[in-house]
Amino acid sequence: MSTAVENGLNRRPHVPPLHPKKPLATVFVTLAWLTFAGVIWWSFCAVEFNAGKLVDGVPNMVRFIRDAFPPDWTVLSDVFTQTVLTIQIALISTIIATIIALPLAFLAAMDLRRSTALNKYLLIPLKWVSRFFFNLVRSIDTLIFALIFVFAVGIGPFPGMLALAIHSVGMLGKLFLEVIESIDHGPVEALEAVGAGRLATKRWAVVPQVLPMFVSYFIYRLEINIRVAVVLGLVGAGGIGFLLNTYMGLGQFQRVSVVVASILVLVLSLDYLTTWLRRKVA
Amino acid sequence: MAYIELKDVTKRFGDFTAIDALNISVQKGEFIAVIGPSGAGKSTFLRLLNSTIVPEEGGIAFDGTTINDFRGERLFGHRARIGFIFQQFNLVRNLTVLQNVLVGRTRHNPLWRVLLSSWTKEDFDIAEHFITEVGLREKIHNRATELSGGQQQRVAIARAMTQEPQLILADEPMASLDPKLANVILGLLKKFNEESGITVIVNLHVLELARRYSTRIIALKAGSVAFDGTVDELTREQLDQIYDIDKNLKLEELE
Repeated sequence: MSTAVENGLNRRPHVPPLHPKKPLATVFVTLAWLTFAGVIWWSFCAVEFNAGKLVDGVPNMVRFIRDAFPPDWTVLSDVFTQTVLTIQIALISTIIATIIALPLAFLAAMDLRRSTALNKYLLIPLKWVSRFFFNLVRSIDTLIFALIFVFAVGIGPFPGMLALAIHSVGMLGKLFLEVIESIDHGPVEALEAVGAGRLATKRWAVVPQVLPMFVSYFIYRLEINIRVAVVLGLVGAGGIGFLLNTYMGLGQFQRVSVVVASILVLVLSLDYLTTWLRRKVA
Repeated sequence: MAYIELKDVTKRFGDFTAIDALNISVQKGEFIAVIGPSGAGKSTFLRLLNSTIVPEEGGIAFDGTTINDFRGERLFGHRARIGFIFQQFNLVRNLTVLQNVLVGRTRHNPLWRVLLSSWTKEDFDIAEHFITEVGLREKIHNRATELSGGQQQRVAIARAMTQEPQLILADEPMASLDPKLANVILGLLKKFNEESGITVIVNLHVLELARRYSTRIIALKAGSVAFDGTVDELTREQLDQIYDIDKNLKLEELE
């Protein structure tokens, strides 16, 4: 043993230079920057960037704003009802999504290393199916789902709710899954050492760790869903956006301003409320 | 009859033999320090005793009853009479001191009480008693995250004690703590050992502490007993042999 150590000490260690010279790397970096610049120029052209058009459009915008005032407050009660409906769509869809995502997330996070027939032929396939399902519905935007559901069940709040719910299953499921997978296993070990069975271990070692995060993600998703539900009406899926679309189409800009004001109040208060709520549970 | 009896116990992890034909017997009320280099099988030894690990060969008996084939309720019952102290405390971080300690009462209650967190007056009294014993009564409603490492380990000791155990196993209980706290932690274990007659087996890597607190030292090396005797019997030469210390080498050069 001592001879090996001595040999190690006698060999001169390799000292890497402070600034290694890599000419090829420099060429590649330069090429990468040039390509990047090229892509940006190409994209600028593609979007028909035109400052002149923007300047020409300013009078139109001014006219729009002038036409929008004074706001027509007689529609306030309609606007209020639709704003509440928007929140309701988001609330119900988030709750349904949570109810579906929770068991799927636990299924997807299961530790199935023991090779039993049940694991091999049922649980492992289910685990990968649920993971795939999360990724699939996550990658399709709520608006696309809304278009499909409006086509399937007709316009109204119901297709909007369905679209939000299914997309949220993917988003929430993925987040729940990550929470479950990242728990500290120390408490699990401790509960097993106490002599707790499977249920008691879950109750006292897993639930206390995951529950605050689940609640926090639920609130976060609810906030996002309310924002999305505002836009959903534009494709006919109910809520305040539907009203906005109608008034715009009829050129009733004094009513549009009431809708915009309502959305502004909704989103701003939502921001403060959820920040405060999340701080409470975390 | 010995309290714990290990006969030719062997445990392998893949190709690695962690415990190699181990024979140890433990009497009730002993305070044993297990020493040895890392990888010697100290942790595996403790986990074999509370049956969170099952040996491939050999038998482990408590009070003459073999525990190897314990399953379900009998296995949980066996674990419940052993308090386990971990190096990383293993508390549930966002629960309070009281909640963490009450968990030790799991096997004293029907499952529904445990699941609904509906602990009895007796549970609360016992939990409060041991939280007071470890000196954390004023922190009883603080979350575990708000405590220092030493305080968390004291909570873990209180949790083990509320199990009303016959045996406490401690796996390097000071390894992630300030060395100054060692006397607090080992002092508590020693106190419960002397006052309640609880058998204590603790893995240590600081020999000085093993000397000060234990009545018996077991040295493991490559999964076998390299020394088993009283503190006074352990010689410098035996120690050097256990830890493979070559007197001509400094430790830094080994790395």
